[in-house]
Amino acid sequence: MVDWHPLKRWLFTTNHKDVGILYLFTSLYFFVAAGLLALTFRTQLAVPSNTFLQPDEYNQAVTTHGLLMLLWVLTPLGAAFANYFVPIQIGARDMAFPRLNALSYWVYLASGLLALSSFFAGGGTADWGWTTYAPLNSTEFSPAVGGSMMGLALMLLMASSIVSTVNFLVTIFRLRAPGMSLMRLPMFTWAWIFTNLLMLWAFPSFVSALSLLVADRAFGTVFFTSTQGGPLLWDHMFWFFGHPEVYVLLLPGFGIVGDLLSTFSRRPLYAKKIIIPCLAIASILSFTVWAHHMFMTGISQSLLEAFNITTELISIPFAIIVVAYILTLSGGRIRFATPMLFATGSLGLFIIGGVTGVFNSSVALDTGFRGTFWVVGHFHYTIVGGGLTGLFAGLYYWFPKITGRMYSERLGKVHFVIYMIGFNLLYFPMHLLYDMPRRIFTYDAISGWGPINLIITIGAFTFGFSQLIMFANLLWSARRGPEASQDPWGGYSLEWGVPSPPPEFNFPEGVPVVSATGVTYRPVAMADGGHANGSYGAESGEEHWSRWPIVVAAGAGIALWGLLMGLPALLLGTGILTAAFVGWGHESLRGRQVIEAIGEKWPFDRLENVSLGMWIFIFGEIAFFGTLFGAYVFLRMNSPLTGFVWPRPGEVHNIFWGGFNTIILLTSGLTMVFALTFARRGSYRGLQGSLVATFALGAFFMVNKAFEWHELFASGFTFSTSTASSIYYVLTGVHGAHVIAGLVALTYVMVKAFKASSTTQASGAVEIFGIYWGMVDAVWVFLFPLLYLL
Amino acid sequence: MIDEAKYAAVYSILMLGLIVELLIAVDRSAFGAFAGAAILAIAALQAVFIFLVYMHGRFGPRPVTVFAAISLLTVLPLFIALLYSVVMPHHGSLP
Repeated sequence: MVDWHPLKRWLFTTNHKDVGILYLFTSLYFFVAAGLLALTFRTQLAVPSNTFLQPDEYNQAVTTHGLLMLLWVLTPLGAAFANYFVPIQIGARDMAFPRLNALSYWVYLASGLLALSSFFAGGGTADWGWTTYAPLNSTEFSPAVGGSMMGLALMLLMASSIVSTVNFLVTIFRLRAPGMSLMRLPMFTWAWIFTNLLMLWAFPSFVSALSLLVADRAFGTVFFTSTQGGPLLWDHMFWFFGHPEVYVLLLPGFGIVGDLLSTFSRRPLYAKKIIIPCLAIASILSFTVWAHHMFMTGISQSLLEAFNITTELISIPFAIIVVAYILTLSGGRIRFATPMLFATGSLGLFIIGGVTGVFNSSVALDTGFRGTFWVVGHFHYTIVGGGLTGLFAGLYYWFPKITGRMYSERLGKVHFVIYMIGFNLLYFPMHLLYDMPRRIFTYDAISGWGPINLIITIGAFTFGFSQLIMFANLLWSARRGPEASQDPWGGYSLEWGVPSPPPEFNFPEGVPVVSATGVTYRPVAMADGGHANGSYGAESGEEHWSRWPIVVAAGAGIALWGLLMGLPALLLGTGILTAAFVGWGHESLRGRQVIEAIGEKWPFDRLENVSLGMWIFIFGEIAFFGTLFGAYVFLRMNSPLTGFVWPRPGEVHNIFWGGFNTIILLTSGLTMVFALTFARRGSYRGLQGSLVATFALGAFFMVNKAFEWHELFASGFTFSTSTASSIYYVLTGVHGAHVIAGLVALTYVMVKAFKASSTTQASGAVEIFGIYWGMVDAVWVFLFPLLYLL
Repeated sequence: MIDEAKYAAVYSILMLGLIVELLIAVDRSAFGAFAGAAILAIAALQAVFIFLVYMHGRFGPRPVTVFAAISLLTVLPLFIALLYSVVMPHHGSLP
């Protein structure tokens, strides 16, 4: 008889450590896939006039390599360690929302499979480069359906990341152990906070850009094919996400390096109180530097000067951090185990990447370097050198904690030596190719680029080979390596105070209480008045399972695949998704899938976990709609310069119809807050009546909107009529999607309210939904004047 | 009943704002070049009322306001850059 228990564990787990391991294996799988793609196009470039790849194959390989490495490898590899260790480092038993955590992982996997399947969608996958520049991203130049599929995969991935971000921020802000003040958090957790804040505000803007792109490709809108929008609009929207993304990739590895330098030099991190503000400053500045990627686009001189300055400024906090890291080593008793070798290696490589980055911040120098292999060399030193090398340091560092076994130190050091040789052979010579365009699939021998390209390709294969040593070492050691002690490195953070590997709820001796003198453990007071040790009662792993995250992700993946490939798959995916949401709604949460706060909660002491989660989601929504409004402003302001006459108020849209709909939506906002008042006051009839009224008004708003769309279409005002029509349909469409999502959620709240034994039982759900519905109202009060009155 | 009165008052303010917006839109001449700015200012005030009373005032503490403000400030540079990319033709033009 087959024992399905282990398989079920990995499919249904919501435990943060299991989810972390799933992220680890999946991101390394994508790492291998993206690495193999890199080897194919490096083979193509090894010698002049090579025909190993055809031009379109080359473009697809480069595009997918870039997208996979940046979005499906580096960020999720950081997420793997964060899932496993951040809850332990802050002294929590799990993430704030374990089930949502599992959902993030499964949606991430579904998005990756969707991205890879785009190769087989007919005509190949996206071939426009990872930057997805317009007009290359249009159906005119990239007609393959695989390109649209990649766009949908990216949107799905962003959704997964945003859900994960909400979960991590609530976890870190609300679930810290007693005494675990923010300043006591290890550097990795600090770096992960800033990584998540960057994701929270940068990723929604990418979703905005992708929404416009998918609308262009699927529905014929004209954002990036018109003169009012065009390449410049895409560049702004993409790079506003793209540059913060660089720090999303960099910071997790950077945080790990900080912790390792301290641990392996046996000294406290130098100037930690300065490093953390520097990380904050760098994160803020990362939202003000994106246009240095656009120095050659013809934007105004004022912008060039401004972004030249901000880009140079951002090097200052990083320089301070690097100096502090180096000073941490000063006077320390340094032990060069493999993790420390990778940590110091990462620091050295990042310094080279940082220095070459300062060159690129100069408008004058960038004019020469833009679009050449110099830039490729620079960003690989930064992202692979600073980011991936730091993450590999973490992989060796935490391997004994995760597996309970030691890896082979000798093989680890061999890996490091070949890794560094391969890395520098691969990326350093790229700086010598400052005259070779980076987006060509071959070149003539007369160019003289052949010998350097050959060295680079040899470096690429050397670098790839070094990873095989790591995989062999870790896979063998996980089964046969010597047993690891609880703390083989003398680490100071909480994970080194628990067994290797840690038990299911992390702290077998009770809740850690952190103080200046060290860590003690105390039993947990349970809700029923009793006490339990760190296992928090008799919950077994099985009780922690949920089957719905994987089903939701499968439904979403199939539905999106079907959106492009055919109605049956779309219907199947939608059916699965609907069933999964119903099942999800019926699952009991309390105690199993929502972890209560028991320690430090500053600065969100007065909020419940779920309320804070909703607020953080809304912070992301501000960035999402803010970017769309930015696109509207750009299109509108650009119209007179391009000879397009924007429709006057009342010319296309019926002002009073829009006003009537505004009254309906605002009234639904009023009934919603009344619902909460009635819930708190114990009035069943009032609560139920208010919720039904809110639902009815929301539905009426959507019906009105549908009629309005129908009328506009009938009058010839379609998706592709003009940029004015395109932005109208996208803005009202995404807002309408939010209203529909709200109505679905409201149905759940109503069921809960009608079934609850007391109104106070339902008030939590009513309160949280009320926050969301308020946001829907607040967005509309801007949409109405922008689209109807101005 | 205090809560209901407060919410009804805010609802009245929102409706009043809507009526003023419509009046300005119908007869722009009274406001001249400021008509658009006035309408957007009213929309911003409506959003603030919804946030403070319907969302925040009832449900959340001060850090929420701080984070919401930071979220708005985050997209501000994008707005400025987008505007400067089009409205300063004497400094350069679109490609």
